[in-house]
Amino acid sequence: MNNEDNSRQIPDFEAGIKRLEQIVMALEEKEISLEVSLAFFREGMELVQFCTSLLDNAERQMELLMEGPDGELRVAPASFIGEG
Amino acid sequence: MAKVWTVAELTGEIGRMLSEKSDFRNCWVCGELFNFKNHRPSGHWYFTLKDEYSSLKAVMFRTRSQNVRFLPADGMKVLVRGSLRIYERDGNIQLYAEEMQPSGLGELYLAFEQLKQRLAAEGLFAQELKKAIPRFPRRIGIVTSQTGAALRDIITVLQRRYPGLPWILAPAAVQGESAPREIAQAIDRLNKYGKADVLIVGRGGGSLEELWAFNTEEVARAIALSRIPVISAVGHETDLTIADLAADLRAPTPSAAAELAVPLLQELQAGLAQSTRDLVSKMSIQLQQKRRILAELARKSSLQNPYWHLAQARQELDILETRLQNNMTGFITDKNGILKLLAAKLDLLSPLAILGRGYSLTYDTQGKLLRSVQDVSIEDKIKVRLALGSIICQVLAKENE
Repeated sequence: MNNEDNSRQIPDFEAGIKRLEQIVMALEEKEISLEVSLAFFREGMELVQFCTSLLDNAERQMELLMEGPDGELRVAPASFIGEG
Repeated sequence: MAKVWTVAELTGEIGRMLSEKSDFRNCWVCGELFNFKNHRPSGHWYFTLKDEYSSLKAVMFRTRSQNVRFLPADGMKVLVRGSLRIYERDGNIQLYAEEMQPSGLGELYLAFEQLKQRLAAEGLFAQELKKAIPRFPRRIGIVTSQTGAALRDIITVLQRRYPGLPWILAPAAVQGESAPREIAQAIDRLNKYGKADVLIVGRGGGSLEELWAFNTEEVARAIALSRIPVISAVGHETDLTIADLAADLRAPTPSAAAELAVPLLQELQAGLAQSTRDLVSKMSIQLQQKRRILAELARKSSLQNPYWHLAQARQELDILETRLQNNMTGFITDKNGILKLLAAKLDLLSPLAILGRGYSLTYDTQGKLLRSVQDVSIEDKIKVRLALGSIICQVLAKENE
């Protein structure tokens, strides 16, 4: 079923939330088959897990973006003075 | 011989020439205020502008003076915009002022206005160019000084709203001569790097001079060209900077920019929890509906008790059988009676039986049964049917009874 593919293609939180809202709305329709509603439900629960993991897994990265004399970008961890 | 003018002719001609020269219709003049008078109750301002060599009378009408944000005073250096015309009664050339800025600031302000108009005419601030700020950024890009208060303010808000959200700083001096170039380069660098979803570009509050980098063409262009949406965050109270106009979204302070850039993690989590509850409840409603339909079907059909239908059929059959037996008996009994009755009737009515008793039937030639002498005429042939055989006769006479 293509619902499964959709959830795999969701690239970010925003798209995930949007799809989740669509699914909840679709589940409000009376005229859907048991099979389709179960597929929606499963996709929805997967999206919830996916979005939750996005929120939980944000690892605090503090970085400095510098440019070397050769024009190369250099990313260094920031030791931030104003912290705390 | 030289032309002799009347005074009115000459002042009229001077006035005409002044009005023809477009430079005089809208010009900026800088000088020191002198003889400043705020006329009551009209609210018009009368003053003289002077420098070390010359002086010029000026008037500013109330509709214009009420827009001036400071209170002028004698000795103040100002920059005034207006048109030059002649006040014919006195033969004085006067500046009819439309705008006034304190000088020092004034020159910067003039440059600012000109740059703003030029970039606006170019379409750099066009609403169509504005990019939407993403609702859920994965990483925040920041352009400001590494040591400034702005960075601390931004990080504090980020930590409060969305702990753990990654950010990357492209450091740039935000004041001084190199600031415009450094800010523009930092924006460019973050665009090359590409992993930030929104940029905050700014610095804390300061005087107009200190904010100057954010009023430069270089910074304005870098912001307008950025593929990543930019929130401007220049701490100031009243006037917009050119960076604000070029940005996709303007925040009054760095903290406010961080508020606008980052959603509240708690709200997102609450939203997800609500979505989960919705999902479960909608699904259980779906299942309940399906179950109800199933139950209804089951109740209606013989599925409920597979033998019930059979038993019912059997009972019906019994009833039918009884009824059939009863009816048949009745039918047979009835039929016997009717048969006897009919046979008796039949016997009575049978013409053959009557003829047997000596009666006869008389017909005309068409075979019509005759019942009255009126039915025949003299000499008509008639046929008389007896019990055995018939006689053909002719009417000789008729007798009425």
